[in-house]
Amino acid sequence: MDFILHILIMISIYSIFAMSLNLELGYTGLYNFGHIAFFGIGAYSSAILSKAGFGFFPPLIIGMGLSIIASFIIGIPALRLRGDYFGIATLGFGEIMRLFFLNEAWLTRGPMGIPGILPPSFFGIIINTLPRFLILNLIFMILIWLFLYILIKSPFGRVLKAIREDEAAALSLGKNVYLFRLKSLMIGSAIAAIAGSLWAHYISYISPNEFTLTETIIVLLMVVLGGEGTLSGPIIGALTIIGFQEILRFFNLPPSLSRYIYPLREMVFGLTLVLLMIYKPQGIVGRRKDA
Amino acid sequence: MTLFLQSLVNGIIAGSIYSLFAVGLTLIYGVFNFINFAHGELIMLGAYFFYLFINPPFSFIIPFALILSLFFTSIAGLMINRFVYQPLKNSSHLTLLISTLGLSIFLRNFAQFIWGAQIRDYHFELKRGFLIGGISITTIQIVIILTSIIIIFLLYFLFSHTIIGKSMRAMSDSQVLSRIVGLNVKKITIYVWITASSLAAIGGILLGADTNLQPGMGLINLIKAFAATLLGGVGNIWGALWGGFIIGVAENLGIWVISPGYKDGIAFAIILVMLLFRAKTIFLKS
Amino acid sequence: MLKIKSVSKSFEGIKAVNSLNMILEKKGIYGLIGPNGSGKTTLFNLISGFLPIDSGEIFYRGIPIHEKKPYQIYNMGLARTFQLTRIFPKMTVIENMMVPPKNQKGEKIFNLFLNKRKVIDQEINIRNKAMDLLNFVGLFPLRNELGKNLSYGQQKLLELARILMGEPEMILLDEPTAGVNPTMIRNLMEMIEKLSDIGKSFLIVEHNIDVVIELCRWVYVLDHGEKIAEGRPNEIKSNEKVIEAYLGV
Repeated sequence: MDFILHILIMISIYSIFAMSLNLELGYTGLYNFGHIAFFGIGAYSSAILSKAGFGFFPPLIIGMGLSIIASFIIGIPALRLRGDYFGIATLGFGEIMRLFFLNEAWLTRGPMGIPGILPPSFFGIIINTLPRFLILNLIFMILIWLFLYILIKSPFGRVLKAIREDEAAALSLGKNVYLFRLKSLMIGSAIAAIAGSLWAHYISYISPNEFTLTETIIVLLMVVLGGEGTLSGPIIGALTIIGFQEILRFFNLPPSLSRYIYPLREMVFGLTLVLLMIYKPQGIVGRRKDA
Repeated sequence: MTLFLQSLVNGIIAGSIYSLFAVGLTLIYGVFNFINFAHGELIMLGAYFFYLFINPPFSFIIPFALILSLFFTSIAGLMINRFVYQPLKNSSHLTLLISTLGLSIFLRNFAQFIWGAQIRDYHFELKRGFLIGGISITTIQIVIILTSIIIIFLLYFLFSHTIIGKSMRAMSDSQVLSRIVGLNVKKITIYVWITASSLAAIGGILLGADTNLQPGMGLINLIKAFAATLLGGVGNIWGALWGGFIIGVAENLGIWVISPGYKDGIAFAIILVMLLFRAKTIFLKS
Repeated sequence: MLKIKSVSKSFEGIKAVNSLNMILEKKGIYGLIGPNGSGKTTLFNLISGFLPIDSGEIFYRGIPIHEKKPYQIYNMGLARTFQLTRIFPKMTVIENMMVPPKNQKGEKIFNLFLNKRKVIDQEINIRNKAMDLLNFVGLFPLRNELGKNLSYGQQKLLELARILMGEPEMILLDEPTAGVNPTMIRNLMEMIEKLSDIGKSFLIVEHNIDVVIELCRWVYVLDHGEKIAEGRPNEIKSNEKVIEAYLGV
């Protein structure tokens, strides 16, 4: 039972992370390959500030704020670039952020990471059991889903869609494409920070190794697999990937074999991504681009 | 002053390896117009194949192991062409980029699956060093410099004086025109991948000899290769050579200015600066 | 209203637009004709901010616009269409129509949550206006159809109607009748005239000389990026230089 709860909690956290990338990638067409950086900012903010006694919500808010500022700083220059170059620029930013987490040991304890992150506690409630964690995460997940739903169905979402369909036409009709993209990036980064914060509190130990390009690619896989540009896609993607990942863990293999499982799993992810691109880029839920 | 020279020499040595990586990457980029994110893995595979062949049960002599490594890495490159690039060559840049990202993860973990995550070594005696005029340099490092000089000459000869080389340059200008003029695009495609893969493999082996091997060694070097490519101009082979050296030197001199922990970040910073400085705008006018 | 002063633009050494001067002062329907490659679409791209000029100045209502971005220029009241229609294919006709209006509160995230009432009210207004305009161009029955399912002629109508949502004062039409059947051409011409009657101005790039003669009060002729003639349609029709340019002599 605990194991099932654990899987559901992981799915909920990654759903939030995937939804944030989906806003940027699926709805705004921004290939943010450094997205893990914002997850990391959220995680580290919560880890550092909650251990310093600031509770749960203030570090979360601060983490979101820092993420927004970071996305603003990289977004302003990077959004002038063509799609794939934007991907590379953000990838570079993601890696620089990881180096920051690794090197600024006075703040982040560098490669040793930050252990002993306490469970969230607020208004006298302590989230120290699995069911409580799940409920907390589900509440966040649903609120974020609703937020994105409203956003997408609104005039703001309409402009995003127009930009995605024909950027030049949107420009010619008075829409400041650059600004919309920047806003989307900033919102996406804030939501990623939320996911990072929840994750840090759940895992209770974070280190710079967890914020690499590989993680971004896994979330990218979730978004693409589920169907980019759809509202339920990221959740389905997270469910599938995390489900697969955790079920593998379930088979408690002898240590001699277990060293093979991790690379094999990652190979499956990599291969899936390639096959998806070739055969079904619209993912599970999405419609074909020309349908 | 000696310290400065030492850094400079270290930079040139690192740079020569990066140049090899960069030329291969820019060749693919120039001819096929996509960034092969899995190029780092070709580097890594080259190093690992060599490791495989010089150790038991094969224990081949170095030249033979070298040739075999180049051969198998080229096969890997051709498979990338056949199974990833060809099916997707008419897709958007993003689709290709994402596929190569997935491929990179696949190959990296394939190596880890076979060889494990631990750091491996060629165990060459050649790591012995000597002092020349106060600068310390190892035999391997001298080999590296000599190898890259030889390769630069070979490349020059290839691209300027052979039909194959000139055909590759033509294709990098325009595939359509090349086809019209009667060039066998399929054949040249194969040569391009073999060349790029071989360069990656040689670089990987040299890198492995100078440092060590681990499955993730491809990614960080891809970044440096990409930075060099941008510096030299996409598709520009000579530019990539220069770019490689500049990155190597910049890294080794840069750590005097910023914390050594950010050394790998220098290449990233250069990428960011180059991209933004040349700011190709996203939208292409109607 | 629209003043083009000594504007030049070159591509790789070839002058696409060469020190062009045009002054459109009064309201009305203006024509812009010339053989293929004479720089007409380039000029539209320059005016609407899609291409930067090399030298010269462009003014709209006295304000320099040659360094402004396309979205700013639209919001100043100067709109343009494209040679090949650029409607949003996977959005419905009515959604297409609801994109352009300026100052939509719903485009600011703050308002979505703190000002919901106003956003909803504005949406209703915009939707009503869209329906009216769709009626005007005759596309009302297709309002829920996806853009890509429209015929070419219907897409042209949609493009025109859509642009009007932002209440422009001047509209640059790039070959509005190209590829369109004669009935639709007549349709479009009637609409342009009606819009002109209510005060909108047009600068129309056209190859169809009959359309130009019937609609336009003044015509500019370009050849190789230069203005070789301007005047009333009838004068232009018999202008020797114009005839030479078209015959390629």
